Amino acid sequence: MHGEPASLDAPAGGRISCSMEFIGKHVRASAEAAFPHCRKRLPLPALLALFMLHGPGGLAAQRLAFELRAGVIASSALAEDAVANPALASALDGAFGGSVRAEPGTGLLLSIAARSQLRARSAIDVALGWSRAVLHAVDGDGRRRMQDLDAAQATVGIRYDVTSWLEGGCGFGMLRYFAAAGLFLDGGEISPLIECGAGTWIGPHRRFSLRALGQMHRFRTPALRDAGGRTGTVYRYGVQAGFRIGGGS
Amino acid sequence: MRRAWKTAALVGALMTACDAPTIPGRDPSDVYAFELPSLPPIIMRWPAGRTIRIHATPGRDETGTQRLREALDAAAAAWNSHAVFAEYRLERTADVAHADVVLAWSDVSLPVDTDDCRPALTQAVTTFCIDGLGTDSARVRPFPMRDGTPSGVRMIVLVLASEAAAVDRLVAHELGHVLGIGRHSDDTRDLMWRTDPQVSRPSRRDAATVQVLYHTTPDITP
Repeated sequence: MHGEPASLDAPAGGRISCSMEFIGKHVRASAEAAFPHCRKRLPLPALLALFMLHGPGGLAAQRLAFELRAGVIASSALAEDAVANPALASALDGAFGGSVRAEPGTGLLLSIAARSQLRARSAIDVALGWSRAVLHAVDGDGRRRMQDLDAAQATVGIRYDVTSWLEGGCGFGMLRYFAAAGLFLDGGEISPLIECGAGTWIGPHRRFSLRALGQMHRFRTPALRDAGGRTGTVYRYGVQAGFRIGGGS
Repeated sequence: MRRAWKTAALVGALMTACDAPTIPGRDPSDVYAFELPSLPPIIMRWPAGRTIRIHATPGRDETGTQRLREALDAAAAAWNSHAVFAEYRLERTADVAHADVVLAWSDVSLPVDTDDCRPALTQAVTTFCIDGLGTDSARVRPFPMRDGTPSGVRMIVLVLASEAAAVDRLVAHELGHVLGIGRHSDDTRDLMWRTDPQVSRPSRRDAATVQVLYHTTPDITP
């Protein structure tokens, strides 16, 4: 949904547009509390602008928070090539070395998230993430480095306070891998992504978080398709530590 | 609370229920024989993950040199596109000192000495010599440089100077042999067709053959 372009006078004197994508009614309510003459719905860029204009104190008042997260992520194989069916393997008379898999190693996962309370125990969470790992080929010859593998992801999710110390949630989004050769010789494709996780807040004012997450996404590339491969599902598992800015205690 | 746990269980079940992205195994009809027609027949290929550097020897004129380089680059890219799991990588090198393979027109002087392992020239040919064939110590003999110093060059690919019009197809075909495909296809649609190739890119069958080759235990590696 798009509104008419509009501008507003921010309390700090700046001007931000609120004419972009709708995120949620609660966000709009928060924004309208801060900017009563803005009647448009507030997008993520506006949340960022809100942070810049108000600082952490302002965000706390609006029940908006930003979180920087860093951690590690592991993944199931991106693709497996059986190479030979039983008849061919038999014809090779014991020389067949077996299948080959493309396995990302454990890599770095960085995210920035914007979060706003929906109700007393639930919140909406919009996150952008980037990960980097090394992609290996694993076959009868051993494990060898293929290339660096970057991935960018964007997710929108709901977080729910299961108990006073445990938070769970799920979301969905998109993910795209960036690499240059082999499986990615002809580029990558944007894949739908589902993410679930659980975590807890710790430290003074509950500003630090620890969370475990699991993701599943569909995966295929033009090179995989050209080789006769089937689209399949890849699972990623990670842990992240986060630092929250804004959103009260 | 109960609903939250049920949702989590459902998502967990979904997250373990789907298949991984998979390329099915090839059937015997998808490939052709690739072992060397030696006695005994042996399987030869480069170690998996190896970058194979090929030096295009300058021709008699700049046009010929450029033509050979372009053919090499195109052929290498075509074969590399089938190394989905980085089994090999063909790459052009300007420095013969770092080359594994020398590619040249038949009418130029080679940078390596071929007195002990002479190419038998046809339209195009890939030449290498194996010492100790049939023994555990069998190895592909490196060609010495013209001045007698050792080199890393283990194969020579020669293209008849009169075949310039077909150089793309011929170089692409010979690179199939460089990779280790020791025989020919019996299908004219394949790049590794036994005589004058009709195409300049590996077919699906060529690609399947090289994939299977690189997941078969070799008897010898260059």
